[in-house]
Amino acid sequence: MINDPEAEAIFRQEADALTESLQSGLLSLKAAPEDAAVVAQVFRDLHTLKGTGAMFGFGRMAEFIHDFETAFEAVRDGRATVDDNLIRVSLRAHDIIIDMLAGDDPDPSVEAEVLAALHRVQDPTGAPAPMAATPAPEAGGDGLRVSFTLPEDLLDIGGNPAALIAELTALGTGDPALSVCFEDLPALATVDPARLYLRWQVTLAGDVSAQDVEDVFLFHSDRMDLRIEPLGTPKPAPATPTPNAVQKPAARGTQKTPQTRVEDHIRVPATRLDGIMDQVGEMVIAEARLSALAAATGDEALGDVAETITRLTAGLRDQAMALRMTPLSTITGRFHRLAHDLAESTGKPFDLHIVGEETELDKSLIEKLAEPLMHILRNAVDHGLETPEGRAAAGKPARGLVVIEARHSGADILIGISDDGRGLNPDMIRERAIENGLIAPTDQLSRDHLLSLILEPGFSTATQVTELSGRGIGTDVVNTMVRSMRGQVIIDTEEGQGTRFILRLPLTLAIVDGLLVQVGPERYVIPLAAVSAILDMPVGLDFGDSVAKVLPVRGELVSVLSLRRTFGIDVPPAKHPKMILVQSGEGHVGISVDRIIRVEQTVVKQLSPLHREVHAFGGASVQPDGQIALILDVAALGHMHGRRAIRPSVEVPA
Amino acid sequence: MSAVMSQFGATPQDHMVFSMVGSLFALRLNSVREVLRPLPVTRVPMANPCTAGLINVRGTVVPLVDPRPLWGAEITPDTDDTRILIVDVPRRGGEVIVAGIRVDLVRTVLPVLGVEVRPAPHMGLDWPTGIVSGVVGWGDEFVYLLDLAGLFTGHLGLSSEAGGG
Repeated sequence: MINDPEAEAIFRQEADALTESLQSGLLSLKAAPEDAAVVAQVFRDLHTLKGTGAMFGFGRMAEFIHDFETAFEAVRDGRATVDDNLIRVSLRAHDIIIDMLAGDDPDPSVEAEVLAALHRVQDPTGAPAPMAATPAPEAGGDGLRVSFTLPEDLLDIGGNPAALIAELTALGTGDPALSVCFEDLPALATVDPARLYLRWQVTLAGDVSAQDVEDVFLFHSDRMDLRIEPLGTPKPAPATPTPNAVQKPAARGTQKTPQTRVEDHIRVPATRLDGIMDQVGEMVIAEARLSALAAATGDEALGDVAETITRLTAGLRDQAMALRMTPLSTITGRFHRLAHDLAESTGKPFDLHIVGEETELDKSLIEKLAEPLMHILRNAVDHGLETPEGRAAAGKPARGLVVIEARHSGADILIGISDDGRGLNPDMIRERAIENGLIAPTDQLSRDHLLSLILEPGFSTATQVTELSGRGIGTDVVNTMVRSMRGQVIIDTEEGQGTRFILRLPLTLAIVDGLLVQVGPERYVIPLAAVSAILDMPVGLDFGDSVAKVLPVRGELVSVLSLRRTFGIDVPPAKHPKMILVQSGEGHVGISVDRIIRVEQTVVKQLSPLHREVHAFGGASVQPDGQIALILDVAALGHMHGRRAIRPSVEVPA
Repeated sequence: MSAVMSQFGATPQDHMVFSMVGSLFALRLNSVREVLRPLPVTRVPMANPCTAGLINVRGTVVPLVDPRPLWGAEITPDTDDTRILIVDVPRRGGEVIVAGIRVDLVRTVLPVLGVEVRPAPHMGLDWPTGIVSGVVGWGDEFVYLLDLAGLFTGHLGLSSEAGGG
């Protein structure tokens, strides 16, 4: 057992990632039970978890996983099939692993039940096997016969056949039997001494698993022919491996594909990243001072150095900022799992669509978001979706639909959770709020205000507290948590059609691609995502005293906003101003600027609460030269300019 | 650093004394993070004229408060003495926001005893109401104790609740 806190921390992180991957694998198997690649992935996750777990003193967990793994080995080898029952059991087994990792002892009866169910998978006829006591069939107690050819050019890529064979033979007990098959050897005259032509056959005695053998050839498996057979089974003709052969060479190709060789990753504690951020922040200002000094002295050599430092600092800053950004997909596995459980426990079948999983946000925010999002999801299914009968009566498809969608909007991230259920009834909310003393019967409230009451502490629209949603935390906790992240919860509902919760969160560290523009002496950033086109302004167009003009642009009448007028920038307009056509709500708005400086990746800094009332800006960006450029909130600008009210809405695909 | 006003008592509390729009004000030393020379200011269009600036303090974007429009005072160029105080503004719930305040001159650090503090007069002052929590004599001058929460929530549009903005 390894006893090193730092190593253990790494193990913990790795175990978290593995269990997450395991769970998402199981859930995708539910949808596609035949997917050999996912089965292989599940198997690998279990295997790694077992191995590292044992190293870190989770012996009991390793034993448990061993049985779990055996079940999936049976699936991988075609001796068992994936069905809903296996997924259900496997998810419970996954939960037991989580408990064990947390140091909790799982309920022995539950553990035994899950184990028995797992055993039935690989041996449907047999009685439940005793826990982990018998060597699993994969171990093939009698040993394995391994037959393989190595990639012809193994030597070219630095491989060492002798070492591989030594590693392989070391797996077995006693003396390994090694034989060589020469049938593919070409005539002596044509033999290239640097190629490998031989087929090897090794017989390994003792407790060896097929996985151990595969691990030996891990780096070559896609380019070699590897056959593994348990000893004691009749030896098949070498050319036609039986379907039951433990490893089918043909399957290898498909197993590889999903595991698109991800980039190498290093895990580091978040505090170190924070440390880097602090240092980089200090460096940016020092660099600005250096540049100013260099410019003041006019020393050319110094100027060169300062310029280089400026460039390096900007790059370093961007990289440092990007370090903490994590895609939402890191937590969506939990949502799929929860959706699965909810559909089972409520008897309301529904599909969960997640859109925009690649949307990045700060790691610390991601973690804090998981809980409120899961709560809203629980609520949507529990209170929002109708039963299949209810849906049929309402003329809706039997399967409900819940959509989670994430996207950036200026300096904010919007996460919408919509269901196509029964929606909220404002009158009932009103009644309930009066009952609970949240409002007086005489209070006149706007619809939005009324809806927002369900976020108040002590409010619950469900007459019955259910097992799912009634876990002592209510929607008010969601509200509190989101507010603690300086965010906002918006509720949108249509009775009979569904409800949408929108979490609008400011992202102190969000990075957006922006168009840096100039108006007079001032610089602004327009989020590139909103930009549809960059055009020349019509020659000779004069805004006069007006802030905007309506112009025909590409066959559409578009309000074109003069930033100079809007922001009161008191300098004469440029000779050849540009128009930036941006998407605003359902139409376009033009923004007239003097000059486009460049496209840049910019780190969004949240504006202070002092500027909460200034809606035109979604944040600020610190430029490489230390100057600040405000980031336009295009939707708000369009809104200010009298386009139809633009709500922060996340579109739900039909 | 805590910006919660602790009790004035027998122990003197260090205050930073500065001049702002023609009068002497003081802030408790532990609510002042640092004193900076003037930095380039980015204008925030459509904002309250008192808060229409942003400064970059080592990579952090900080709002800059210029109290002169609030007084109705004339805007004159910065001098060699102009400074920016970076302060912690307390909000309910223990949260603070960081802001810069433009001042004309930083004078000194002055220990102030609770017993020396007298209530600020309600009338006859040049500045808006609710921004001063008391007054102390200093030689033949008066030093007014600036109430940051009063200034920011009363006149600069900051809501006192955390989170809501």
